[in-house]
Amino acid sequence: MVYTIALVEDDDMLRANYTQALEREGYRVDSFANRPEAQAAFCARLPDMAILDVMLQDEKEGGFELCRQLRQLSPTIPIIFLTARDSDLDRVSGLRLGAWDYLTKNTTTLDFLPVRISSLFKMVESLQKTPDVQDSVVQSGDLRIIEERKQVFWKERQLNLTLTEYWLLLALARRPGHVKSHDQLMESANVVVTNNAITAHIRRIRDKFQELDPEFDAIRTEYGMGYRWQI
Amino acid sequence: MRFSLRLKLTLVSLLLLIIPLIGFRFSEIITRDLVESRKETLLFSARAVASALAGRTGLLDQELFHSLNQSRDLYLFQLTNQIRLNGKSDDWLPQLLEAEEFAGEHLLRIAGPYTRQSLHFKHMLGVRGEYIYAIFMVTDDKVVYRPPESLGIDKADHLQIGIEDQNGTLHRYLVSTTKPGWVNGFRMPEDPAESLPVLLERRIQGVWSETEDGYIIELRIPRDLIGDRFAFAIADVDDSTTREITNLIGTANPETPEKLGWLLSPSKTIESILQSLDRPQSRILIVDSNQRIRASFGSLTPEEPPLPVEPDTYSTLSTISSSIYGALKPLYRLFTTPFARDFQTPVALPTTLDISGVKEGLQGKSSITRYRIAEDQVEIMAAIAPLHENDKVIGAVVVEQSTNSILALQNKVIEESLSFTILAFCFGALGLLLFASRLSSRIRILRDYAAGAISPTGHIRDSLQPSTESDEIGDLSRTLTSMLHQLKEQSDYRETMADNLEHEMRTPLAGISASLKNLRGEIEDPPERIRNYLDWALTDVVRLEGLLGSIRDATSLQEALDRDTPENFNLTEAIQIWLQHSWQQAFPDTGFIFHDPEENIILHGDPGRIRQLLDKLIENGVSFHTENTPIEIGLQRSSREILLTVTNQGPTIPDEIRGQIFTSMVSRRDRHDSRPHLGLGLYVARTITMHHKGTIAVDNLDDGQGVVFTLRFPTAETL
Repeated sequence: MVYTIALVEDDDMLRANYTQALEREGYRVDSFANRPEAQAAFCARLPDMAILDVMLQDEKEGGFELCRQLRQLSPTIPIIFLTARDSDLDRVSGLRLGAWDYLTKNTTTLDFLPVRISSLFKMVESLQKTPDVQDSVVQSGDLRIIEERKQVFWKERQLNLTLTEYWLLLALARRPGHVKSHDQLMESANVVVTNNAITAHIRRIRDKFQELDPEFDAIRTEYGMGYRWQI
Repeated sequence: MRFSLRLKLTLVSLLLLIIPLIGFRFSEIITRDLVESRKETLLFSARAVASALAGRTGLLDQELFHSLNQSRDLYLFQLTNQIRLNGKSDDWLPQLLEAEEFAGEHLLRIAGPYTRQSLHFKHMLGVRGEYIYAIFMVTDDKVVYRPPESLGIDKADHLQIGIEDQNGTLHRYLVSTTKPGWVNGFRMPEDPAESLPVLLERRIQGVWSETEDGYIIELRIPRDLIGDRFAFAIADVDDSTTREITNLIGTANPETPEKLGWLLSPSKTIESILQSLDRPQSRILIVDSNQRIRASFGSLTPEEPPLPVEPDTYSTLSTISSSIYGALKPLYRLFTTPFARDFQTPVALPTTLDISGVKEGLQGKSSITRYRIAEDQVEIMAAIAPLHENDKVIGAVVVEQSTNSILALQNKVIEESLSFTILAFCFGALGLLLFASRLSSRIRILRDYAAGAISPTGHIRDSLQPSTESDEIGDLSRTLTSMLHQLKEQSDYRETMADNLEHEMRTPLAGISASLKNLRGEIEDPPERIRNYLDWALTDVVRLEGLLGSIRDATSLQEALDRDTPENFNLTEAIQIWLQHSWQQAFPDTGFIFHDPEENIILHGDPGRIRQLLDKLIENGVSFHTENTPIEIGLQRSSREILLTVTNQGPTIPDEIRGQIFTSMVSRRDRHDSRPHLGLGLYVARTITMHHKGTIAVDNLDDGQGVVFTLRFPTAETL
C-alpha cells in the first residue's frame, strides 16, 4: 500500500524539492501552497499523513489552523510540523494542537524526514494491530516503553511524547546510568540540532514527566556533557 | 582638584561684595558734597548775619563795638550762682575760670623794679540781679593794712575804682581796711591830688579776707551806680613805715576819666536780632574786635527727636529691617564714624573766642574752620565773616554747627549701603546657590541618565523623559534622548536583524540543501568530481546555517537563560570532566593546566550554561595563545565568592577595546581563521556570567605576555 502524504508548504521550490524527495522514497505526495487549497482537498479525501508549515503565505498561523481542522476530521492521523519557526511557544502550540512531531526546516531535514515518516507509519500500523506479547519493551524502574507502538508509561500512566522526545528518552533509558553526550543523543533522535536544542528537548521531556510525577528526577545532567537515565 | 559647579557659582557670587565698596565711595562723595554745601551755607548765613547787623545804623555804635582797648575794657559775666560776700571764691565758679590775670603788663605806676611775687592778681566782674560783683584775688608778699587811727586810707594796700556814672561824671572810690573783714568804699574827691576821702560809700560793700599768699576782695556795687565805663587798680604798699605805693596794677588809671575802659556785657539787642535769624541746630556768635563773644544765640544740640511711632504700626518689613539692623550693628560700627549724640552746647561767655579764623575774620577775611569742643566730643564747623561798619572791621560773625548731621547722614548712607549689600548678597547668593543647585542637579540627572543609559549587559535604555525646559540643558537632554533613541533603534535593529536574518534564510538554505540532496539522489553512481562538488556545496550550506544558528542563539540567549533550571553542582569536578572529555579533545594540540583547588567548589547554576561560558573562554584563549604555551585554568574560592580564571599567553588587548570586548559584534580578531567568528563569544560569556550573578573582567597580564579572564561568582551558600 502506498501512503499518501499531504505536504503544505508555501515556498514553491522547497515544496517541489520535498515532494520529489518523498516521492523518491515511495510515497504519494499531494502538495499544497496554502491553507484553503489544502483544506478543500482534506475535506474531499484524508491523506495518511500531513506535513504542515506554520506560516502559509499571508496566514501567519495558517498551519496551526489547518492542524486543528485536520484533527477534527481525524483524531489519529499523524501530523508533523515542518517550519522555520523555532520558538518554544510555537512548538508548544503545535504539539498542543495534536501534532506528533515538530521539526524545524534546516539543511538536514531531508536526511531525517524519511526515517521519521516511515517510523511514524510503522507506529500507526502497530497501533492498529492488537498488542503483541512479543513486542519489545524497555523497562527501567517505573518506566515502561513499548517500542513498536512508541508508547511511554511512567508508573503505568502514559506520556505523550513527540517522536524526537521519544527517541531521546529511549536512547537514555536503554542504557541506564550511562552518559549520553549531545552528539549521541542527536544521532539517536535522527536529528541534527544545536546543543541548546537538545537541552530544550530534555527540558521538555522532564517537564512532561514532572506533570505526572513532581518527584521525577531520573534524567540527570552530567555537567553539561550529556545526560543519563538514573533510577 | 575638583570644583563642583555649585562651588564655582558661589565663588562668583562673592563679586557682590563690590557693592559695599561702591557704597563707601558714594558715601564719601556725598559727605564731601554735603560738607562743601554746608560750608557754603554757613558762610552765607554768617555773611547774612553780618550784613543784617551792619544794616542797623547805630546799633553797633550803641553796643560799644568801637574803639575798644583789650587791656582796658572790662567784660561783665552773667553769674550763675548766688554770690555771698564771704571772701571765698568758690561761689564764683564756673565763671571764675575765665578770670583774667593782671600782672606786670598791666602796671600803671611803679616805684622801683617789679617783681611778680610783689603783686599780681586775678580779677573778674560779674552781674547778678541788680548788683555788679567784683572779685580780686591778690597775691602780695607783704600785706600792709591801714593803721586804725589814720585817715590816710591810701597809705596801705588798697583798691582804686573809677566809675563813670550814668550822667557821665567820674567818681573815684578807694577800698582799704585796717583788718580783714567787712569793707566799704570810700568816695574820693574829684581832684586826684587830694587823698582824703569825702565820705564812706556804704552802697559799695564788700569783704576783705586774707589768704596764704595775699588777700581776696569781694565787692558788691548796685547796678545803677555804674554807667558805661569802669576802671580799677590794685595799689601795693610794701613798706609799713614809709607807706609809699610801690606798684599800681589795673585796667586803667581810675583818676583820669578818658582812660576808663568800657564795661561790656552781652548785648540783648543784638541777641534779639539774632533770634530772628535763627537757624536750627546752629549757633550764631558775635565777636567784637577784642575777640570777645558779645552776643550769642541758638544751640548746637538738636531738638528732641519725635517720639518713635508705636510698635504696632510697624510693618513686617520694617520689623525685619530693624531686626537686621540690630543684628548688624556691630558690623556697622566697623565702618561708620561714631559721634556723641548728646553734648552740651558750651555757654557763650564774654570770653575770648579762641578758634582759628577769628583773627583773620577780624582782619576782614571770611573763613571756615572746624574744631572739637573737647577730646572725643562733637566736631563743630564754624563759618566766620567779618562785621563791617563804614569799611572798618569792628567784629566778626561766627556761625557754628555741629557736624553731627553730616556724620549721621554719612553713617546712614554707609549703613544703608551695608544693609543693602548684605541683603543683596544674601538674596543674590541664595539665588545663585539655588540656581547652581538646580543647574547642577539637572546636569547630574543628565549625567546619571547618560551613564545609566547603557546597562551593564550592554542594553540601551531610553526611559528618559526629555526635559521640556527651553534652555541649553534642555536642548542637551533632548539631543541626548534622541541620540539614545536612535542608538537604541539601531541596536534593536541589529539584534532583531540577526533573528530575522536567520529566520528568513532558513527556508532558502533548506531549499538549497534539499535541491542538492535531491540532485545526489537523482544521479545514480555519480562521478567522484560531481560527488565532491555536491559535498562541498552541502558543507558550505551547513556552515552557513551554523553561523546563522550561533547568531540566533546569542541574541535569544537571555530568554533561553530564563528558562534554565539552575542546580547546585560541583564545579571542580565539572571542570575536570570538561577538560578531559571536551576541551582536550577539541584542541588536541594545545596544553591545558588546571589548578585544581583540591576541594569541591559548589556553584549554583546551569552546568550546561557554565560549560557554554567556559567553552567560549577556552575557545578564545586557544585562538589567541602563543604556540606551545598552555592555557591555564584557575579555580579558587573565598568565603563569599568563587574565582575562576582563564589565562593564555599571547597578544594583549589594547585598552581602547577592553571596555567593549564583551559587547556583541565586537571582535579583536584581525586574522582569518577557518571557523566563523562574529564577535559573539564574549558577549555570550558575559550574558551567562551576569545571569549567574557573577562578573567577568579581562586584564592584560602584568608582564604584558598574555591575557587573563577573571570570573567571579557568588558561592552557592551566599545565594
